[in-house]
Amino acid sequence: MMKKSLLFLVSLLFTCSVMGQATAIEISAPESVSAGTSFRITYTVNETSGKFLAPKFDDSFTVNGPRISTSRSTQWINGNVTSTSTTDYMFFIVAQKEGTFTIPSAQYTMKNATVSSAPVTITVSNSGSSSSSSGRTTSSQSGQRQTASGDDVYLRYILSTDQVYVGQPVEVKLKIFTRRQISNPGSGIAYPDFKGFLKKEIKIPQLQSLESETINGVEYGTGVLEKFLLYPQIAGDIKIDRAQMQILVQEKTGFDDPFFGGSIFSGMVNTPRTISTLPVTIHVRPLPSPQPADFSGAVGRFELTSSLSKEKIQVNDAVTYTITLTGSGNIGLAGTPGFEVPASIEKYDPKVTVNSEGNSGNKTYEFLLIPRHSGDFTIPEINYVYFDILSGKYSTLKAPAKKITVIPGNGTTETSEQATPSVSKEDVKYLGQDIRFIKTGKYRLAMIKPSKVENSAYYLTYLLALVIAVCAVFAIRQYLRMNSDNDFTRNRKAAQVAGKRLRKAQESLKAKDYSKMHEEIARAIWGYLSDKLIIPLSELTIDNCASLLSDRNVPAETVSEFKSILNLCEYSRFAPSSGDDSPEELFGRSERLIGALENIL
Amino acid sequence: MKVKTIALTIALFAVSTCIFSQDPGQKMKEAEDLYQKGDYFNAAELYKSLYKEGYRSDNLLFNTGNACFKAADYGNAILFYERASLLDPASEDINYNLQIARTKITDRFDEIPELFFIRWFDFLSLLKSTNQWATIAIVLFVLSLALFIFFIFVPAGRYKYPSFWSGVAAIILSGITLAFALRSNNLVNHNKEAIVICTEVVGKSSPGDTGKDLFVIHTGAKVTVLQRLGDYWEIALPDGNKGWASAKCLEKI
Repeated sequence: MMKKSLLFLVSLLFTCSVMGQATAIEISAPESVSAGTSFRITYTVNETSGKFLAPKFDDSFTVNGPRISTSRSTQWINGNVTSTSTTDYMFFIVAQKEGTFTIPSAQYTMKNATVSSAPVTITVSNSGSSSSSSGRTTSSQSGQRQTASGDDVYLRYILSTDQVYVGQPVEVKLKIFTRRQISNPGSGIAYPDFKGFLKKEIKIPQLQSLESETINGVEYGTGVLEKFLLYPQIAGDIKIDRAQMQILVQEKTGFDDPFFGGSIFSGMVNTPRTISTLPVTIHVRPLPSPQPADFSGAVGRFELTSSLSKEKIQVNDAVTYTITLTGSGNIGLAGTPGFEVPASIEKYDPKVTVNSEGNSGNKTYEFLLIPRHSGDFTIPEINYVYFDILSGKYSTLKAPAKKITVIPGNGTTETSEQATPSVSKEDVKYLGQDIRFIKTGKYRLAMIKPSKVENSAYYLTYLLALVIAVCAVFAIRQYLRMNSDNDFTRNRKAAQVAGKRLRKAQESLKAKDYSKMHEEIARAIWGYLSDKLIIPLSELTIDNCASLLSDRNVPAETVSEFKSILNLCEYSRFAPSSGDDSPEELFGRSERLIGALENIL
Repeated sequence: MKVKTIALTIALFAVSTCIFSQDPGQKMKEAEDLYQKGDYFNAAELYKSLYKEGYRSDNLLFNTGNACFKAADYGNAILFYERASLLDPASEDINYNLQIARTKITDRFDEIPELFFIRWFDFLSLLKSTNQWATIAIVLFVLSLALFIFFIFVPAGRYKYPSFWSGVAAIILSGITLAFALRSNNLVNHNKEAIVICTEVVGKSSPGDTGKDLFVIHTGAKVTVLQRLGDYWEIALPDGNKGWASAKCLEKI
C-alpha cells in the first residue's frame, strides 16, 4: 500500500503541476469490458475537504467500494510552495449482463461549490470475446491515461483432457496470460469448491519469468501459476467454476514529459485487478457395469511387479514380499492387492509407499511374511483388477506365484519343534459344513400299512390264543384223567381179579383138573401183574416182569418165587404128571405170592 | 370271442396302470438324478410326491430332507429328517443332517431333554416298526402260553420249573414288546409334535384372527400340538409357552 501511495504521489506531482488548482473530478474507466470479469472505475478529486456522492450504478453491476485513498503533496517551484491533495474513490465492479450502460455523473460537494463528473458509457461484451481494445480516458480535464482493459490479463484452466472416467485424474494447470507488466502473481488465488472431485496439489517452482506465447496473433506473456490433479468421484458433466486472483497491473500514466520526453518521467501505476478464469466442464464417464468383484479401484494404465527379498529362509525369519504398482492413473487411491498365504506363514499389514509426480508414478506394498513351520510353500498368484482407460475395459494384472523354501531353524527360537522334529500335530482343519449326501441305489420302499395295534383283531388274537390255551389245558387234563382212571381201577381191582381167578383155580383143584388149575393160576398172576404194572398182557414175559418188579423194590426171593411158580405152571401144562409139587401147595404158594406183591406194589 | 374280450380287458388294465401309476423305483431314480444335477427344488417335489403316495422308507425320507435342505427349505428339511429319524433312530447320517439343518433356523430353544429312561424307551421302541413289535409280542404271548401248558402237565422233574420261569419271562417280554408297539405307533402315526414350514407363524391367544399376538416362531421350529380347532391348532413351544397358530403353517411329524 505504501508503495502504491508513493507511486500515486509521484504521478500526481507531475499531473498537478500542469493542471493548476481548479477543482475537478477525473474518471478512469474502461470503455468496454467483458461480462463477468471485474473492472475498476476510479474517481479522482483534487480536493479533500468536500463530500463525494457516488453515482447510481446499473442494477446488473456488482459494486464493491468505494475505496478511498487520500494523498497530499507539496511542491516548491521557484520558491513558491504549492500544496496539493487528491482523493481517489475506487469502485470495483463486475458487470453481469451484456449491453451498453451509462454510469451517471458523480458529484463532489464542497463548502462553496459542487462539481459534477461527466457520465461514462461502458460496453459490456460477451465474456468469451477478447477484443483488445485499449482503454480510454474520460476526464473532465485534458490529460490521458492508458487503462488496462479486462482482456489483456487473464487466467485460464488448462486441462490435460476433459473426457475422463470416474477416478481417472485430470491434470489442471492454472495459467496466466498477460500483455502487461504484472506483479504479485500467484498469491491469493480463490478457487471454487471442486464439487465431485478430489483435488491434489502438485508442487511446482514459483513463477519467475513469463514465457512468450502468441494467441490469435497477439503476443502474451504466459506462465503456469499452479498445477493440480482432479480425481472425479461421480459421473456426469461436471462444471468447474471460475478461479479468481488479485494481481497488480502496472499501468502507465500516459503523459510524455514535456521537458525530457521519453518515459523516464512518465509514471507507472500499479493498480489492483481481479482476474479470473472461464468456467470449464469435464465430462466424467462412469466405469462400465458390472464391476468385477475384486476390482481394486485403480483407473489408468498400470503394471504390476512382485519380488521376494529371499527365497530360502529359516523358520521365524522375516521375508519381505514387495508388490509394485507402476503406471499412470489414480495411483494414490488404488487398493491393496490381496493374496492368501499358506497357514504356516504369518502375513502382516503392508507398508505402503507412493512415489508419484502428477498422475504417474509407483506405489509399493511391502508385506512382511514370517514362516512358522519349515517346508516348501507357495505364495499364490496375485490378480489385480484395474480399469484400463485406453481399452475402456477392466483388465487383470498378474504377479506370478512365488516359491519359498523354509528350512528348520538352528537354535533357540525353535525349541519346541526341535524336541519333536518329525511330529508336529495339529488339529484337523475343517473347511466347511454340509449335509451328508443322499442315499443312492435301490432301497426298499414299503407302502404305508395300517397299524396292527390299532386293529381290534390284534387283541382278539390274544384272546383267541388264551382261549385256545385254556381249552387245550382242559382237553389234556380230561384225556389224562381218562387214562389214569383206567389204570387206577385196574390197579386197585388187580387183587380182586386175581382172587377170582384163584377161586376158579381152587374149583379146578377140587375137581382134580390140575392142568386147568395151573392155567388159572398163571392167568391170575399174569393178569395181576399186567394190572399192577400197567403193561399189556401181550408184552409180558417172565424176564421183563422180573426186572420191572426188581425196579419197584420187590425183594429178590419174592421175584424168584414168582419165577418158580410161573415156571411150574408152564411145565405142568405140558407135563401134567410132574409130581414134585402137590397142586394144593402150588395154589397156596400162589395165594401167598399175590399177597406179598399186593403188600409191596 | 369271450377269451379275446378278457385278454383285451387285461391288456387295457395293464396299460392304464402303467400310465397312471409311475413306477416308484423309476421316480426315485429320477429324483436322484435331479438332485445330482443340482435341481434340488424339483428333486424335493418328486420325493414329496412319493411320500404323499404313501411310500415309506428311512432312506426316502432322508433324501427328501436333503433335497429340501439344498433347496433352502429348512422347515421341510427338518420335518423330513424328523420323520426319517422315527423310522431309523440309530442312523448317524440322519441325526447329523438334522443337526446341520437345525443350525440354519432362526429360533433357538433350549430343549429340555427327556428323562433318560424315556429316551431309551423311545429309542428302543423305534428300532423296529410298530407291526414288527406287534408280531413279536403275539408270538411271545403264544410261546408263554405253550410254556405254561407244558408246565402244568409235565410230571415233576427237570423240566417242570424252568418251563414255568421261561413262561413268566416270555409273558413279561410279550408285555414289553406290546408296549414298544404301542409307543412306536404313537410316535410314528400319532406324533403330537409338528414343524413350522412357513417362514414365520404368529402364536395367538385364541383361535382365529382376532386373538392377540403372543409370539412369532420361524420355519423349522418344533412345537407340540395340544388340540385342534378348525384351522387353528393350539401349540406349545419347547419352553412351555402356548398359543394358537394357523394349521396351514404346521406339518405334523
